[in-house]
Amino acid sequence: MQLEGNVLSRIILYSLLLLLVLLWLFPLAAIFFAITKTPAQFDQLFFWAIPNLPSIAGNALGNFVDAWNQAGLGSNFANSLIYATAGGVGSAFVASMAGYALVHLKVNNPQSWFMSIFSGNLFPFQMFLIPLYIATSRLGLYDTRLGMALVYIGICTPFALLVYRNYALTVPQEVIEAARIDGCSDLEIYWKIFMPLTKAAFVVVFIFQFRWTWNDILFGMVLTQDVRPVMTALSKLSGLRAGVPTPVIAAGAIVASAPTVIVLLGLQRYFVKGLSLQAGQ
Amino acid sequence: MKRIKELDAYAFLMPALFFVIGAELLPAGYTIYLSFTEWNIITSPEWTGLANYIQVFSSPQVLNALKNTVLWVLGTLGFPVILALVLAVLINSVKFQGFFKTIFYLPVTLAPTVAGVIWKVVYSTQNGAVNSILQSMGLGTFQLLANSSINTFLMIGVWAWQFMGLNLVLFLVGLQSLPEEPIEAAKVDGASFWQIFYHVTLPLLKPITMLVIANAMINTTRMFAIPWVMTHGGPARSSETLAISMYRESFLLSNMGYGSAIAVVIAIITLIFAWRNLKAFEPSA
Repeated sequence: MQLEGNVLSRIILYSLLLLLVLLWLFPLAAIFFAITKTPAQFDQLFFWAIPNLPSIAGNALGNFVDAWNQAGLGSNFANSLIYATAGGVGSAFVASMAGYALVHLKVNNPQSWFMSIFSGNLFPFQMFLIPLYIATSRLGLYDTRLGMALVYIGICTPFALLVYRNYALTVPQEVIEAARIDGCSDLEIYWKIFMPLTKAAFVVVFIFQFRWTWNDILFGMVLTQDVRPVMTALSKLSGLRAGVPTPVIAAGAIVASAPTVIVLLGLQRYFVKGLSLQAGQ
Repeated sequence: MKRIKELDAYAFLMPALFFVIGAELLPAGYTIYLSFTEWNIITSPEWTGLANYIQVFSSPQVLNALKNTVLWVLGTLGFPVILALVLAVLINSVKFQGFFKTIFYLPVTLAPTVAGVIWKVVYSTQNGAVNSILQSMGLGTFQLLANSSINTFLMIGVWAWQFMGLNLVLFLVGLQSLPEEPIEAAKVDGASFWQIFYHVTLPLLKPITMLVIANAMINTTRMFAIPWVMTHGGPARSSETLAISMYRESFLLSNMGYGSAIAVVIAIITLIFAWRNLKAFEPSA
């Protein structure tokens, strides 16, 4: 549908959109201006001033190095890579098995089983924090990478199952039956037929849950001290008490965003597919 | 042989059950139990009935957090949802759609924590992106996040900036999958752009609009990261949301029972908002 009408209304429309675009880019521009200066320059110069051009690359690099090493974001980045990969890949495998069983194997009352597993998604995370803190402490999993990975897989599983069940329904029952007649076991059918035919579900789950786990701050705050994920660490760095200079925090924010920006812009098609499934809840 | 096959099926179901029961269902049940107790983590929980809930609805701090949470939800419906709907219709009718979509979608790729960190630089009193401009114009500097009468609104603006693009993409998907005939018919009848929008497009978009609204309300009721990063709920607990109150009471003040009661209140509000969506899963539907 094209907006019809006179030239004036088109000019107004485009100016309005352009104004919003500028508003949307303003904070991002601020961050890029902040990292062009060394912390000392940032304290002395006007916010929107740019130091002499040849020094910008060096200043920015210095801020990135400080964020990564001195502020310690590097190790948190590595932790988050482990957690987000575990959350994405782990929940995809767990959910693919359950989705396969619910749709293609003989489970009594599959709808009730699906509902009981999916019901985990109905509660806000606040409902899980205290018991998980107690449980991980008792089991020796508090402040461990294993404990965090397990918790993230658990939190990611219900939505992953929703995705997998939807895709499992698109695998024709005849294909499964034919393989069974050829003498394939359930495990062989799962691995050689079901998984290859539902690759797209794997990608959707991975993108969605990798992003969610990477962006989480809350479980990291409650369940870790030393093996903090990157967002929890960034939040602490930006606190007043940490005393980290603004250009270094800005560099940290860029570093912490790189993986999800790359994944989301690169695989946007799958992300929108997952969104429509999530919205369809 | 048949029995073994059936056991097989349940074996495939086991890992999902294990993770969901361990990480979500048991914890949720235990939180409900704790909400009826007083517990400082050191001694054992002591049953106090509804005392925590009475305290939730009589404590000025938590009532203020409830008020802020309501503001967040209303603000979310006002900005990221309605603005996204209007923008989607406008963008759908102009050139350079891809460019506009990408710009508004950019903040969606960032974490709420990162959005908070970025906007803290923007709002900062000392050499912030906004205050430096105001100062150079001779207007002086303004306390923004430290001003408890406006900080919640400023942070809702951050959420709008971050979240709007997501709704925009959903609305655009909805708009582009609309049937052509009713819109063409209205055009032939001489309806104007806004008449078509109000009488034809909007009713056709109703299903996706309801979903976007429910999603926005559920996400915003448990808002934690942006206000935590930007103000820690301060100054003097003035900008706390319920999710921050829950964290503060439980993990900073060791009132586990009281914190659990706040968690249950958040869960109840979310479930009310999710009710419509839940109905979609009834077997008959």
